[in-house]
Amino acid sequence: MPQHLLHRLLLVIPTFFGIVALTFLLIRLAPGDPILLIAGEHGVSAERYAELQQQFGFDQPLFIQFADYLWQVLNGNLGRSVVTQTPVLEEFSNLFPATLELALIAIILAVLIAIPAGVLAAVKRNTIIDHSITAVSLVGYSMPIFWWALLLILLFSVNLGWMPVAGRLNFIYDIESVTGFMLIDTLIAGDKDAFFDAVHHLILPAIVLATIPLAVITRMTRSAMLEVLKQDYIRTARAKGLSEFSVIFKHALRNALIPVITVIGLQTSILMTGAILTETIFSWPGIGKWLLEAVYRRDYPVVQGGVLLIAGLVILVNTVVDLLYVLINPSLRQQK
Amino acid sequence: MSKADTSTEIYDLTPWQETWVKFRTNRIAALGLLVLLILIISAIFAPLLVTHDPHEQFTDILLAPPFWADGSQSGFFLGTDDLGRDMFSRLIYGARYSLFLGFAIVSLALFFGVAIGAIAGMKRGLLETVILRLMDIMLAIPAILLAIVIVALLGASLMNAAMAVSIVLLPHFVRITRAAVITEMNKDYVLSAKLDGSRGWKLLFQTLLPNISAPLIVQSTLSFSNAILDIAALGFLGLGAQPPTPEWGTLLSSSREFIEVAPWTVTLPGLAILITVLASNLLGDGLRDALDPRIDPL
Repeated sequence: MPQHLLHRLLLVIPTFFGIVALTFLLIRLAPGDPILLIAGEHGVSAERYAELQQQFGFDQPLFIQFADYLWQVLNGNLGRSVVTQTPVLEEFSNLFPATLELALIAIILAVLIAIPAGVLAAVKRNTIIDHSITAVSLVGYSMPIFWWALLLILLFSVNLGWMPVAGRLNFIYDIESVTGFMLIDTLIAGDKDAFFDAVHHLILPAIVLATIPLAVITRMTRSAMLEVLKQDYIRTARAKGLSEFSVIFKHALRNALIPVITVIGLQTSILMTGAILTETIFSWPGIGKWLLEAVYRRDYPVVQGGVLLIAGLVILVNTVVDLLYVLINPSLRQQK
Repeated sequence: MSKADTSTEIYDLTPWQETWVKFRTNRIAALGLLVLLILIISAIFAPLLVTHDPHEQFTDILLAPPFWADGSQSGFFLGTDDLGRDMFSRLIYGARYSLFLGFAIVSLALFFGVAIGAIAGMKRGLLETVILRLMDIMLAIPAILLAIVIVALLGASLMNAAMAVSIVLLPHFVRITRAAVITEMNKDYVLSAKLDGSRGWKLLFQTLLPNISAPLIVQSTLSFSNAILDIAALGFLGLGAQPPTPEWGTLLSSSREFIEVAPWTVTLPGLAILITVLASNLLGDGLRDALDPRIDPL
């Protein structure tokens, strides 16, 4: 096992290195001269141009520029936004809690519904219940979530007036940011109304973001359960006279959850993709919306740093999931 | 057809016939195929089907509702948009973009994915490691984000968006091909072909490809639905097709501000996307079940 884990951990290094290289190339591949881009419409004089070129290190050979960039990244310096002049890392860490809060609520929502639904579908195989759950999850899986978001807004905000359309909190509340998580910050501030307002704002975006993971996890739980329920040890458990509840939840589900946990971990990438669309539609002040706006504004340092950070996050979560997988799967534990 | 019939006759069939028998009995997958065929036919014969030019603006009938609502206009049975263009005609023409681009994107990803994956699987060694690491890197960046970045670099247009989505889908094909090639390379029939002097591309196309096509076909179908979703998402974000192109995602985003007064301008394009994606996912799931030898035939 240690060898396997070590190998897995070592693989992270070249992957991360590659991402740094990719984000580095990104800015070089961008159309137009970066200095002229920063200068904007006014342009720069020839002397100032040379000066800036030296300042940014653009006069150096490419590999030296890359080494320099790598060094900066390893020291946590991701450059400054061209538009706001704020360090990219600072902007990211200010906005990330909003995305994390939304993503966590979404994935919790998805897991809470998906696992019971998947188990139910497997246990009631080929009944109307199974067919309905399978059909709904297939629709969810095929859903263009930007459209789904608009439908929910149309129904719950425009027609029924139950839900707010945008943002994290009504502007009448002034909540001090302690953790960056609105649900926790409002509780710290002891403002009950603000807390419920924050919950209100979270509901629609969380449903939208949860849709695809919900469908994927339901399908996975169903098929993993079907696989496990065929096994001999389940028949043994039944033959021993255990209650059906005990057979399904204690014996079957425990083993079926192994692949399901992997799939839950792999949702990070899907959640980040979803965050870009969901945050844009609901004006949610998180990193998805921030990154998309940086693309529109051609704020390349932000795009570069943002992609690097998100990719780093995905690699981190995937590696942790891989390690967890080895830890919880007894059959893998024995292997070298 | 009863279950006993097919399972006895299945032994006399070629693998492709067996697949067809298994697929045919899966009514849901057949439904997906049927819907896709209808969509493809309407896309091809769009000029014959539509009632109006998709770009023609009827300025006296702006935002007319569809036929089931009050105030609908005859001749515009799915209503009109904010510029008085016929929704039905725009949606049918939109199918051309989504379906054609879906095919083009998947073909491109399939072609390069198989080529790169086969090189990795046949040559092994350092080259294989480099290719796999590269694919890992691409997979670590969320799909839409990678596509957005590529579009940001190349500029927002339908062709660039298609190229970006194709690049995003590539790693899956590379990994599947490599894994399948490695499995097959150890088998006797490949050894026999090699002894016969078959090498390189010839070995790949004549000997290997027919035997590794099943997972590739399934992946292609599922990628097709992803391609359509991603193209629509990029169109919605303003990074894909540009107005007045009647691409579905673009239609959605340009009608977004009319969602309160004319909800059909938003619901209909989205429904078109959902139906197409759903149909190709049904087909993909059905094909996977039919092509997977581990799954009990019936």
